[in-house]
Amino acid sequence: MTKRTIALCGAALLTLQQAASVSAVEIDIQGFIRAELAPKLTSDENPFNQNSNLFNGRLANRDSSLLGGAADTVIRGVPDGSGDANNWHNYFAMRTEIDFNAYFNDKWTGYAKVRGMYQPDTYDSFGDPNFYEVPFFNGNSSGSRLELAGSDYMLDLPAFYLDYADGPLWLRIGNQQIAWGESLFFRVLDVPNGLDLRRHLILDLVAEEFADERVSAPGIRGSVRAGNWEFEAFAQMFNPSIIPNENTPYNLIPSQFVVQQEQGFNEVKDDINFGARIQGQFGDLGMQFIAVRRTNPDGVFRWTTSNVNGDLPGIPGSGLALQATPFEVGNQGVLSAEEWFTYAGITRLDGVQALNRAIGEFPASALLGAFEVGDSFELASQELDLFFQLSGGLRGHIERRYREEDIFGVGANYILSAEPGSFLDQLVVRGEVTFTPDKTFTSPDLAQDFLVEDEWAGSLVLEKYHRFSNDFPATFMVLQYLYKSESDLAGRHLSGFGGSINNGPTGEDNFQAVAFAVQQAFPNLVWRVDLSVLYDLNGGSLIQPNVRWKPNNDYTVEVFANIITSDGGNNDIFEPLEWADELGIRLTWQF
Amino acid sequence: MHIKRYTTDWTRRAFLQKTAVGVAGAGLLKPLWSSMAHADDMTKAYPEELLSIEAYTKGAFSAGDMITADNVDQVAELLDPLTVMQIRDMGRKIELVDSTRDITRLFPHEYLEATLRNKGKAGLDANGNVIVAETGQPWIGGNPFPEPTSPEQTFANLVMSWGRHDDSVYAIRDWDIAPNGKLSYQYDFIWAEQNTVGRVASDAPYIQGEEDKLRYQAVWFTSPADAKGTAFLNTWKYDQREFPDLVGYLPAFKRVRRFPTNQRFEPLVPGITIFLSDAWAAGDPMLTWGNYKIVETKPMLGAVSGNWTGDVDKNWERGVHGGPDGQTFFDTKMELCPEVIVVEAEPVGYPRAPVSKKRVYIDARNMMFIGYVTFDRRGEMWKTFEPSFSQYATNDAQLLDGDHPAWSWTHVHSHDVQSNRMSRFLQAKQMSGGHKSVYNMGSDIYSRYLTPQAIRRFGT
Repeated sequence: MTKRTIALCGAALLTLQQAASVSAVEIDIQGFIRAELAPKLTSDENPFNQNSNLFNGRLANRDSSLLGGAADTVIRGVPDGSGDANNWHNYFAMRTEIDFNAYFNDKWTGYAKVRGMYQPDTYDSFGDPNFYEVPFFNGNSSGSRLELAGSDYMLDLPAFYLDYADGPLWLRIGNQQIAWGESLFFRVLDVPNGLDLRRHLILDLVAEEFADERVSAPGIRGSVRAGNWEFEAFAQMFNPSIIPNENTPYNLIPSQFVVQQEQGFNEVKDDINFGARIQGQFGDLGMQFIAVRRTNPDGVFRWTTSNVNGDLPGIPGSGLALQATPFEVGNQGVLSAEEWFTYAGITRLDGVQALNRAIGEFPASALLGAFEVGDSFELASQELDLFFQLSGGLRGHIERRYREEDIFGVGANYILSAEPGSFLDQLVVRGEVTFTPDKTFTSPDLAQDFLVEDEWAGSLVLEKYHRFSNDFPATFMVLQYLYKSESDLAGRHLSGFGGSINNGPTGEDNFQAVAFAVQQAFPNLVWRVDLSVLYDLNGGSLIQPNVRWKPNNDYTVEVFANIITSDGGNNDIFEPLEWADELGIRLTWQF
Repeated sequence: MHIKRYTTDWTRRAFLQKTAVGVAGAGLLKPLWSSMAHADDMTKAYPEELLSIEAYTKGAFSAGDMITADNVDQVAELLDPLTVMQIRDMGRKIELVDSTRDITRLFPHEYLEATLRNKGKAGLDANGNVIVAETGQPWIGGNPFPEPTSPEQTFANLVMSWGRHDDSVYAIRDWDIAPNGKLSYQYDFIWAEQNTVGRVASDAPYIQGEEDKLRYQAVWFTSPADAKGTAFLNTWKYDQREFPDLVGYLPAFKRVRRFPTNQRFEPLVPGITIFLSDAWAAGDPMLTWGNYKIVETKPMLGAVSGNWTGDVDKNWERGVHGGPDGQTFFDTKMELCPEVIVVEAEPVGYPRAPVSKKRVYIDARNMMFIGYVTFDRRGEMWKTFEPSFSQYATNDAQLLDGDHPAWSWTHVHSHDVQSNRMSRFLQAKQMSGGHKSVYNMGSDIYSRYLTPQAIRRFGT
C-alpha cells in the first residue's frame, strides 16, 4: 500500500470515526458465495500458453540458407516435457462477495465490499499457473491497492468508501469504481477506470457489463446539482488495467514473450487521474459532456532489454551482448520464423519491422551479427530462422509503459414518442463521441517510439422494451454500433491488423462493431433468457446465450455459453479468442 | 327494541340510484362533506346500518369477530370475489373492527384541512387535468373532488396525492410467497415520494419552479445482495397525458441510465407481483388510462383502521397466517365502510399492456382505495392489490407526522391469483441501511432521495 493510499484510507477512517461518534452506527451485512465454472465446448486450447502453442508437435520448416545457414525442420515441444494441455474447462473458481453498509447519520454513510476469489489449480498448464499475482502493489503481488493476492487466491476491497450528501452536494471518498456513459460494453465515455481481466476475462455475462472487471482505485468523486445540471468531478489514483498472467487460461500475450511491467508501473504509480462531467436533462433530451486527463490504464508495449545473460549455444560470451537485446535464449521462446510470423499476426504486430526495431534500436544486436532487413519478408525469415537455429529458441522481452492522455467527450440520449404500442414509441436513442488528441498506441513494430495519433470513438445505441405477448414481460432489446478511428476494442492500433505467416500486416482504416442483445424475462422473472451478440464488421463474433433461474431468494443458477467465431485473416478482434468456446455455469447462494 | 329507520333494501336502492345517475359524492342521508363542514360526524351522512357491522349483519358479526371460511359466505357481498376466495379456500382470516365515525382518523390532519378548505375549487381542464377552476393553476391540495360527480373526478382523488403527505419515505419489507406457501423471496426496499404541487403541510401549495410536475418518486432496493442498489426514479409531469421520466441505477451497470417509461406492467425484481402500475391503484398517469366508469356503489369491508402495530412490534411488523404454510396473509383488521365507489378504467394508452382493465374500490369517505383488481386480456381476474391503512395511534403508542397523529398505509397484499403468488409487504419503522419511514420531512427529501445523484449514491 502506498503512503498516499494509506493517507487517504486514514482520512476516510478518521472521518468515519468522527461521524460514528455523533450517532449510533448501523451496519448491514449481506453477501453471496458462488461457484463459477466454464467447461470447454471444444478441445481447442489457448494458443498463447506454452503447453498449447500452435506449433507444439507440429513440423515447422526453417531456412537460413541465404545467410549461410541451412534448411531444417523443428518440432516444438512443451519445454518441461509435460505434454500438451488437455483441459476440460477454462475456468473454475469460488467467489464470495460480502457487502457492508454503514449508516452514520443522514449525511454520512459508508459502503465496503469484500471480494474473495479462490481458483484451485485444476487447470492443466505449463507449471503452476499464477492466476492472481500481479507486480503492482503490496510487495509486487497485487493488482490494486486494497488487495492481497496469491497464485490461486485474491482478496480485495473493490469498494471501500464513505458517502457524504448535503443538499445538492455529494462526495464519495475512498476506493471506488467510476462508470460513465450510457453505452453498454462499448466504452466510449466509460473512461475513468481500466479493466481487471484476471478472473474470467470479459467472458462473464454480457448483461453484467464490466461490473466485475472495472478496476477501482482510491479517489474522491463528487457532484453538485444546479437546476437541470449536475457538475461532477473526480480525482483518482492511477491503477493499471490488469492483464491475465502467462500460462493462465485466458492469457492474451504469447508466452514466448516476457512482459516486464514493474519499471513502467513504478514511473506512474503515483499519478492521479482527473475528470469532470456536466450532465443535464431538457425534456426528452439528456446531454453530458466530459473531459478527462488520465494516465491510460491499458498501457503500451515495446521491446526492452532482456537483462538475461545467457550464451547462445556454442558461442561463449554471447550472453553479454544478448542481455542488451530484447531476447534471451530459452526453449520457451520462438523456434521458427513460421512461429514468429504466425504469432505476430495473431497479436496484431508487424513481424518484419518488429525484427528491425529489435535490432536497430538495440545496438548490441549488431554484436551478434544481426542486421536490419528493410521491408524484406524473405530476408527477415532467413535471419530469424538463423538465430532460432543457433539459439534453440529465443524468448522476447517487452515492457509495458503508460502515457497520459486527454479525452473530451459528449453524450446524448433521447426517447422517441410515437403511436402508443408501436415499435418506435419509447425507443431510446443514445449517442456518445470522444476525441483523444495525441493518443499513444503500441506500435506494431514494438518500437521505442510509440505511435501517437488523434483518435475518435463513437457509439450509437437503440434501446427498446417491447411487449410481444400478454403472457410474458416486455422484451428488452438493444442494438449498438461502435466506431473507432485508430484502434480496436482492446486498444490495439489498426495498422497491425492483417498479418500472417506469409505476410506483414495490411492494416485497417477503422474499427467498427455492432452489438445486439435481447433479454426476455418469464412471468415473475423466475426465469430469464438472454442472447447477446457482438459482431466485428471484419468478420468475428461473440455469441452468448444465457439462461438464468432464480427459484427463490437464496439461490440463483445461471448457464450461458460463449461461442466465438472468426473468418480468419487476423483482422477482427475475436480470432485470438476463437479457441475459447465454453459453457458458463454459476451457482450462487446469497445470504 | 331497535327499530331500523333505513333497511338494507333502502340502502341498496339508494346506492343503485346514485350509481345510475353517476353521483359519487359521499353520503346517503346528506352529503358527508356538508356534514363535516358543520363539524358533524358520519352519523348524519349514513344510516346506522352502514356504520355498524353488527347492524348490517343483523347481529351475525360484531367488532372483534373473525371472518373465516366458515362464515365468509354471510359477508361475501361486502368483499371482492378474490378476497372471498382467499378466505374460503386459502385459510385467510380477517378481524372485524368498529367502523370509523370520526373522519379525522381517515386522513393526515393537514390533508383533511386542505380538503375542507379547498372544497369546490377544483375542476378538470379541457385535457382532463385537475386545475383550480377559477385560475387554471395546478391543484392546491387535499382531495380535489371530495364530492365527485364523475368517475374521472373520483379517480383524480387518488392520483393527485398518493400518500397524502407532501413528502413520504416508506421503509418497506416484502415477502413473496410461492404457490406452495413457502417463502420464496424477501426484499427490503425504500419508496420515497414528494408532491411538487398540491402541498398541504408547507408554506405554499407548489414547490417554486416545479409547477409543471406532479411528483418525484423513487424506489430502491436495500436487500438482498443481488438486488441491493437497484433503483428507479420517476419524475411525474403534471399533465397526466404524459409518461413520467424514468431513470434507473442497475448495480451491474454502475451508472444511472434513462429508461423508457411505458413498461409499467412488469415485476421490478424476481418473484414480486408488484408492478409500477399498481402503486396506489393509480401508478400510471391518470389520462394514460381511459373509459373510466362507476360500476357500483355499495358498502364494503376495508382495512382502513386499527392496523398499525406500533404498540406491539418495535418495527411495526405483524403476524401472518393462512396458506399452505401458515404465512401467506398478514393479520388484518377490516371495518364496514359505508360507501365504496367501484370505478373501472382501461389502459387505453398502453395497447400492449397485459391488463385489460382495473377495478378500483374507493372509500367515499376519504376517497382512498381499499381494493384494486386487475383483469388480463381475456377478461379473467389476474391480481388483487389490497391495501391496509390506519391512523398511527393506539391506546399505548402513537406516531406524529408533525403535530398530529400520522395516517398512512400499513401493509398490502398483492396476490397474483393466476399463478397463486402472493407478495405481501408492510411499512416498517426502519429498514436495513438505516432508512426509516418518515413523513413531511421537508425539502431535504429531494436531495436525499429523489435525484439521479441520489440513486447513484445508493447504488452499489
